[in-house]
Amino acid sequence: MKLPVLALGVWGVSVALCQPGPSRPPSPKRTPVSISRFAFDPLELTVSLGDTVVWVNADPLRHTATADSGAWSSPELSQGQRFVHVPNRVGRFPYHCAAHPVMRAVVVVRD
Amino acid sequence: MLYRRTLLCLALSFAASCQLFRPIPESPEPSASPAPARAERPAPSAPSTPSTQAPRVRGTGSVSDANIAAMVLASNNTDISYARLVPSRAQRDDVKEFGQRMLTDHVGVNSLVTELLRKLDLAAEDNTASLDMRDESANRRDAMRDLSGFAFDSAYMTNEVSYHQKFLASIDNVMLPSARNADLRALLMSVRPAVAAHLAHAELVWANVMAKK
Repeated sequence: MKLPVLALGVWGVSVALCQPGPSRPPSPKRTPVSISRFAFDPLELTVSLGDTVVWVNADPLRHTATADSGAWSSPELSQGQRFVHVPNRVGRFPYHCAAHPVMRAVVVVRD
Repeated sequence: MLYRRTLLCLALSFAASCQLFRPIPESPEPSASPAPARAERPAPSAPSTPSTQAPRVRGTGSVSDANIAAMVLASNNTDISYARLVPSRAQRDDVKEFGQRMLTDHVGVNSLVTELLRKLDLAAEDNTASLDMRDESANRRDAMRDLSGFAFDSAYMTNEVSYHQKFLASIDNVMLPSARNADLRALLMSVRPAVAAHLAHAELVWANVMAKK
C-alpha cells in the first residue's frame, strides 16, 4: 500500500517541477561599446530599458562617453578603463566624447 | 521602303537613348584636405585661410624607421610648442580647451613613441623632413608669440588646421608606406585616427572663431 502512494507522490512532485513557471521578463543584458581608433563602435546601439551599457576604451589616448544633454558622463577613460551606464528612460540619446567632440554616437532605448 | 524606314527609326531611337542615358558627369572629387566647415561663409582673407590643397611633404627621400620616429616626435613637439602659447594668449574658451587637448594628446603620443623606441632599442634619427618641420614650427611659433585675443585665436586655429593636414598627409604618403617594423606601423595606424579627429575638431573651432570675426 505504501509503495503506490510513494510513487504517486514522486510523480506529483516531478510533474510540478516540470511545469513552466509564470513568464518572466528577459533578464537585463550588458552590452559593450568599444571606443577604438577615435570612434564609438557601434555608432548606434539599441538596448532595452534596464539593460546596462558598458563603454571600454581601447585607444591609447583618453576619451569620455558624454550625453549631449549633459544628463550623464564618464570621466576621462584611459586605455582599458570602462564606464557603465543603465539608461532609465526610453528614447534616443546622442552622446559624444568631451575630449574629441567629433566622436559621436547614439544609444536608442526601447521598452 | 518601309523596312528601311523602320531601320532608320530604330537607329535614331538608339542614338537618342544613348544620349539620354549617358553618365552624368560627377561633381569634382572633394579635396583630400577638405575646406573648413560652413562653406557658405565668405572665405577669410588669404593669410588666415587654411590651405584647401593637399599638403605636400617635401624632403623625404628614402625614409628609415628611425627617421619616421624622428618625424613623429618632431610633429608632436611642434604642436605641443604651439599649444603652450595658448593659455596666456587665447581669448575664447573653445580655443583654450582645444589647446589643452592638443597638449594632452600629443604628449600622450610622444610617450607611445618613446616607449616603442625603447622596446625596439632604436634611436630617432632626424632627416630633412623632421629638420624642416622644426625650423618651420619655430618660425610660426615666433610669429604667434606676439599675438593675443582674436588675432591669436584666428592665427592659432588656422595654423592648427594646416598643421594637422600636413601631419595627416605625411602619415599617409610618407610614414605608412615607408615603415618596415610592424610595431611602428601599428603605432602609426593608431595615431592616424587621432590626427584626423584633431583636424576635424580644429576645423570646427576655426569656423566658430571666424564666424565671430
